[in-house]
Amino acid sequence: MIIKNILSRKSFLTKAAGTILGLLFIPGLNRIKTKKIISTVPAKPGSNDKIAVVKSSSITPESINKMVTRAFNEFGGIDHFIRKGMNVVIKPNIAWNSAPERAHNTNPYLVEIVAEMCKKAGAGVTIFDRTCNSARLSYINSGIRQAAENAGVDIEFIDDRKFKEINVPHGLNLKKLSVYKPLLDADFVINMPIAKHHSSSELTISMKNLMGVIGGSRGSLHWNLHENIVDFTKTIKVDLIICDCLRILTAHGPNGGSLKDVKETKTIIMGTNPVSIDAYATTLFGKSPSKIDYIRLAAKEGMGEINPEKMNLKRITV
Amino acid sequence: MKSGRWSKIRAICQLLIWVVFILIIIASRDTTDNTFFSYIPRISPLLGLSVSLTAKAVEFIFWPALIFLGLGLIFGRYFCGWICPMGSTIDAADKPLEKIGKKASHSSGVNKYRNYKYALLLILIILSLFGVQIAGIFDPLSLSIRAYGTVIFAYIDSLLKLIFNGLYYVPGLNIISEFIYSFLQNNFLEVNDIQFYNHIPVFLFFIFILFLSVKGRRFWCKSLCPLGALYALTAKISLLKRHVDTDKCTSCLACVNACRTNAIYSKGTETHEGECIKCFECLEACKFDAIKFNFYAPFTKKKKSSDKDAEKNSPENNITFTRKNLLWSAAVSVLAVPVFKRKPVFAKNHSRLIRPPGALDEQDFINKCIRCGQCMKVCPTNGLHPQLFEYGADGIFTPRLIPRIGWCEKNCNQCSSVCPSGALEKVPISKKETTVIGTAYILKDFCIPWSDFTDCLVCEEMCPTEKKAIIFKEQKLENKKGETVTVKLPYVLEDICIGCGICENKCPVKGEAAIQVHRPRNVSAGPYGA
Repeated sequence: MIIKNILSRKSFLTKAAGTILGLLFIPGLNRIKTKKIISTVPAKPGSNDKIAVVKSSSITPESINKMVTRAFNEFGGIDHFIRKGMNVVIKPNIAWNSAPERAHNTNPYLVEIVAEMCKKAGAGVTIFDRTCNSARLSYINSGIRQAAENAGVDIEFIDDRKFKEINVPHGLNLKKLSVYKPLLDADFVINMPIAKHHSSSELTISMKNLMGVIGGSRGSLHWNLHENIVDFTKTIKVDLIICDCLRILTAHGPNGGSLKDVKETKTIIMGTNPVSIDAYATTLFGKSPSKIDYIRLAAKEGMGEINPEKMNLKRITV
Repeated sequence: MKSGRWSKIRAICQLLIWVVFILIIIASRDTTDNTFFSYIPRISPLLGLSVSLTAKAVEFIFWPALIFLGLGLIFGRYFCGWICPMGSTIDAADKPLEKIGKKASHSSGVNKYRNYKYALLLILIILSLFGVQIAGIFDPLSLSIRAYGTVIFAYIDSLLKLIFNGLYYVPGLNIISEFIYSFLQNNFLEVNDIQFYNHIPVFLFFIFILFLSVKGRRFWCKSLCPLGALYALTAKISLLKRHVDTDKCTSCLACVNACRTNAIYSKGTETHEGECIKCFECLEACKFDAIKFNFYAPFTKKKKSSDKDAEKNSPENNITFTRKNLLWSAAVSVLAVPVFKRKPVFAKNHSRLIRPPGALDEQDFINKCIRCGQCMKVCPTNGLHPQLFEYGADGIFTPRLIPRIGWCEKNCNQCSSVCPSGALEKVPISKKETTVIGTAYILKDFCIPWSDFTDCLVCEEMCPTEKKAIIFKEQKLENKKGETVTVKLPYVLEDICIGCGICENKCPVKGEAAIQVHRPRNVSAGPYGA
């Protein structure tokens, strides 16, 4: 007896194609679920957010641990920021294929400890950065891949498909900016820059570190760089900044320099206002915040207090 | 053991070695120490011979080849049947290809072209003596690493990315596909898209060799492969030989038809030892248990059955490498010398030909490079690419850095640690920051600060040297509108620049970069590049 095919190849293909097409037209399904993105100016004009500056006498995993815990206590502990089930993104600086002691990338111990604390607070943590050098080697040689593995959190390479164009509110130079979606979708974003010398922007701290979640051709963003940095800060919402000033690179930054150019300042700075943090970190280099164009521009826009004497500073030594 | 099982064992062995070979190619992309992978092409005696003859010195770096050649003295052409990744690939591709071609040459049991491989071997050896080392083009190990490691890996990588990128936009499916994709990306695929300059000639050459099988199974191996020819020479005095029990043999020709290299003649009783790749398919094909593989002392004449002598001595089966063949091969190779020998101006003075760090002096580099493409395969930035004839024909498939596609990564010595032949001397990571491979020059008419009077400085930011090799001077200039502006103008310090090319790669000018790396002007030739 000849059994007829119940589903021939042709009919299967047409049905499958029909189903896929049908699914595409169900509203909402054709987009991976995203929250509505609200671009906010991170600080209200004139606001003076608290900044914790913690200094230690050494750079060891234990002392870094103490520093981070102490800094969080200033804000009422990590639970003040992070609740169970939150989706946390940590954005360190992993741009360069360099060893940690060269101070090109964020200190891996610092990243590990912050990631571990977030995980203990019940959050799911993801770490990523858009690198300048080879992504694979930068993740390995910066020590941050190992740090993420030690902390038991996810570390991802940047996926070029996941950039989203968003509007820049009252941009100085930019109207639109392509930003990495997983960062926009996160419940809580921790920016973990390293403070270092940078030739064209003079210093790169938390505001410039946002370059690492911006897509497209980044080279052209270096024209009118200072205005652009202010625009990044306006556009990309960051919830907490932990600035690595354990070792700072004082010359030939952001990528060169020898160990002689690395200064051990053994400090971390925590806070919520990027402009004030950048302004304070500037003083570690012995420079005046108002002499750095992008900090001055941001202050003019009313994005934060830049005079260290007027800041709501809390200096702690552990 | 039942004799028929040997062919299955061989097939499994072939598959396993091929899989390990592919895994090695994938694995070597994600390690920081690659030295282990440099041993793979070194097992080829052809490459060792050719490099040694060209360098006029014994290259001890190829010592693993001696082990494999020594085994050849016992097992004959075992390498072709059991180990060679190219041979395994050809075996896999043969079945569909054979149907396309005529079966004539296969079923007749005679391969008219079998001496061509000795001719090719001879040509390569003579060329080596004349200082043209191009054995790597034809050596099956170089050939397969080059094809799999560079172009085929890149094709599969981009194909998978294309498929998963498509699935990413299909609701429902994308949850599953993204899960698989992230697994693949973390373990096998490249982070960024890779593509090799000149990939099409490399790929076509590989495909051409596979398609030779339309003229009969394993056509490349039995007719052209120079490494096969070298092993065929050892097979003539090797110990393991095929023996047919003429009392049991019914001349059914089952073994003749099963033999993929046309090694069996005289109605199944005799063997061309130089052709037999010890695949043991004949053992399985023989229904009368007439075939045995035994160890015989070299040069012993086996008893021949007299009634078949007539066929044995027929001209078809007596294709030997004659004096005429020898003279032709010699003539061809001598005529080929001027084709491949390049003018010194090509070798020394072509300013855009940048060799990887650790490269020997240009002529020594060409003489030692075996064109396996391992350096291109491991380069994390996709900066190394096979050259074709741009800088002379004898440099075919040698690596060159194309900074606009991928720069030379700092803190990375993968290419020089994976190089099997010593054409790239291993550069210690501590010396990498001072190893000079080129010098950057600014094209001021393209450069934004120089021509447009706007700050840019991406090149300066990227520059990885301790003291920046690109500096800037702030100058007050009158721009095109007549306004006075302060511009940071970049300059290159030639003494510090190492020519890594990250500046050229990241230069935001569209098309040709406004800063370009050329061969270093001020540095004399030395062990580390230059």
